Amino acid sequence: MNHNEIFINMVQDNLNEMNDTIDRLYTTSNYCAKNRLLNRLRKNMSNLSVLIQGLRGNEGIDPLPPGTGRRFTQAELSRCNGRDGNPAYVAVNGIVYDVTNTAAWGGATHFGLTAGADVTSQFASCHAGQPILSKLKVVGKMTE
Amino acid sequence: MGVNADIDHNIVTDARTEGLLFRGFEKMLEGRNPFDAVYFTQRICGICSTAHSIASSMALEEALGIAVSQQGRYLRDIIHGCEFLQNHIRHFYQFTVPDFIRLPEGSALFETDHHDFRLPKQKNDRIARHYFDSLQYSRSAHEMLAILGGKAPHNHGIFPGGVTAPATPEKIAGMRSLLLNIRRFVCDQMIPDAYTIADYYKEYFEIGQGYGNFLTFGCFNGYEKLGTLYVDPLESGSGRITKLDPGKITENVDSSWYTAKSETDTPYQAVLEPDRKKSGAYSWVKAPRYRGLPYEVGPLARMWLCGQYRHGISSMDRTLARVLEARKIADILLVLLENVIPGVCIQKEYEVPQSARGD
Amino acid sequence: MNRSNDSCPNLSMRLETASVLVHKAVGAVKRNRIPRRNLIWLELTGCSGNTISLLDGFHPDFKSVAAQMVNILYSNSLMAAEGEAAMERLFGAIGGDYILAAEGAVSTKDNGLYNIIGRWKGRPVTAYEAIQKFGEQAACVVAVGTCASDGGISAARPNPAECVGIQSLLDREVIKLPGCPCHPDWFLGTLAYFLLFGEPELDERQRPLMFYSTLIHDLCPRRPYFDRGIFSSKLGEKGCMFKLGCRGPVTRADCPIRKWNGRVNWPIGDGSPCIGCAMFGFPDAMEPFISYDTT
Repeated sequence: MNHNEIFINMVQDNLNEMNDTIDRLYTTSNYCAKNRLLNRLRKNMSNLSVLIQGLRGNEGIDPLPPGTGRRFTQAELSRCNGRDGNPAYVAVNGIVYDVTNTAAWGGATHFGLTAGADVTSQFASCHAGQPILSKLKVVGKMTE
Repeated sequence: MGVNADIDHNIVTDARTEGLLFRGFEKMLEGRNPFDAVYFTQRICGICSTAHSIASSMALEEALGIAVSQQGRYLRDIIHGCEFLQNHIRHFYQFTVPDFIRLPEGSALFETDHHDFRLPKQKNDRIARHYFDSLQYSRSAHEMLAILGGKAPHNHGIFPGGVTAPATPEKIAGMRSLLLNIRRFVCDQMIPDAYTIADYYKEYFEIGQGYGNFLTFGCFNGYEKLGTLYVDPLESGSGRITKLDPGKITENVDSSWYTAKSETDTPYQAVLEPDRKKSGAYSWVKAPRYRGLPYEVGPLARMWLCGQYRHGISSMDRTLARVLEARKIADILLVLLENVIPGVCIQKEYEVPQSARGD
Repeated sequence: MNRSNDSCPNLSMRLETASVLVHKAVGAVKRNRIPRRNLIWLELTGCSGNTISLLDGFHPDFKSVAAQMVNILYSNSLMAAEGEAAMERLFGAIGGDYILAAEGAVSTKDNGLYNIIGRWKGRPVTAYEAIQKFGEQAACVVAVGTCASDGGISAARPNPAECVGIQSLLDREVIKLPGCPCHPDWFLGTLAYFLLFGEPELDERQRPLMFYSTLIHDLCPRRPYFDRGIFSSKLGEKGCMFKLGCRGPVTRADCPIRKWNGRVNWPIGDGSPCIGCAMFGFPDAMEPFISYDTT
């Protein structure tokens, strides 16, 4: 599934849930149940605005001005595995990020992935639409 | 777990105990970070997880040449002792007592179809009350464990080199207080209850006899300053008690669902492949052998080998040995707690060599 | 012992969630406002650590639940009946009302023959058969522990017994209570909630929000060390254990405040990192648990 499809599915899930919530609101008279349903609507709206943010953040805006930034070969990237004094770098969509002190990369690993690798497809399938990359430090780009 | 018995004229002529669950931990450990084994292997079993973390830590220490300090040993063995206490109290009250004691009506959990309840009502009901009282004591054995080990089951405190966190005066005082309560329960309720049951079911001293081939890897033993508080690694085949030789241990898989090149291997020779369709096999449990013979381990074995229990070998003797061992271990923990020095903790950054072997 | 979290009312109230719920449920059963419903507890392909953890419950504790809140029809470890008599009780529940709590994953290899949980009317009953038979009909299914929720250690690579979490074998939704083991509060609180109010609010991974909504990292007393880059290089040191491989940042559970075994301690409090035992990737995606060579 590509990035757009994942994004569309997530938006649709939220819309479906909102429709279901509104159906239930028509028939609920219990005060507590009504508030729970309204909270759910609020949650859906928050999800949708996060998705919008994420889409904006991933909109192909190059984080590095042209002609700047270090270039990494595959071999150079794989040396940056976060061990024995090497920093922990990962590549997503051609951009190389520093995750050495990123909380989710304890021990320079993340959900079975090791730093020093291109994690573009894994990122897309797990984190599409989430404003994660915009918070990471960019250290360069992969060579074409 | 299952038991299949062939019975002829009210006598058991053959029996097969079946282990009916397989997950494959040996296979799973291959390719993993060696230190992870300390946490991983605990999940083999929820009631005795501590034993696996200790075994893994000791194997790693031998393989990596890591020395464990005496203080580390004390703290680790205290955690292990707590596990023993939890284990024995639950084994006796939750697993053994319901076979002999009529538990209160009103809960489907306590209904049973056998009617061989022999204790007079007062004694029966007293032990039934203790069944419920015991829940707080076995629970507090785990509370005591968690004070040093972080959580129970599946503790975090035990690690190569000893333990991860040092003792403090508050921890020692807290544990001592819990321990004294547990010990009082064991001495004043659990042991008398076991002997009471034994009084009314005397034929169980004839049922489930054994050959007297006992074995132990040692327990609370070999301390530099304190010596052996319980039992050294010993075995008692052919009528004599001698030092245990682990090299004489083999695993037989004749009746187990594994394929093997030879039917008897030492544990190092192979990680066997499961084969559920093997003909003649009926269990996932391998049959460990010492000098080619089946040996008995457990509380009776340990108490027998150190000379503290020689009354007999039977199913009732095993129950009595277990409750007596609980008292023994409570006493040992009191000694270990006396000798713990607060604030001492040695952990290092450990390196894994290219290859190593540890038992 | 760390006291800094006691001053936040949000956190201190959360500690009482389970005991308040159980107290309410027990009271409601006593006053006949709700029936004392049946509970079946199945031990499947696992280590039974969740049963032990349940027995370790303290405020709420197992005794009040077993004697007053629900009627436990079947528990392999705890019931007095054995063999065929025990199986009769289990199969006798079919057609009636019961809540199903299942711990352990389910081995699917060889049609489930790698985990037989009993024998009934002369034939073996596999975990594979039992979860499907009892899961579909239950009023509510709760996966207790990481193995039942997502496969856990029973399904660790290369998964010799081909284990799966119970949800993959059931069409209906399962409430997941991961944890290795599941904390007794999480199970007893969820059970009491269900008895009183029906299904609790779940996140997108079917975990009750009341116990699983926050990351350990966000509640961790060592967080100031992380924020200032003060990291431990070996176990037992005071700093943040991020460099040793701590999985607190990716694990949702309330261990830092609830702690374990009567709130006496917890892994990070004991000088060792969180190994992510309550996460869906445990253990494979949470390893290595301990790393000494991180930069």
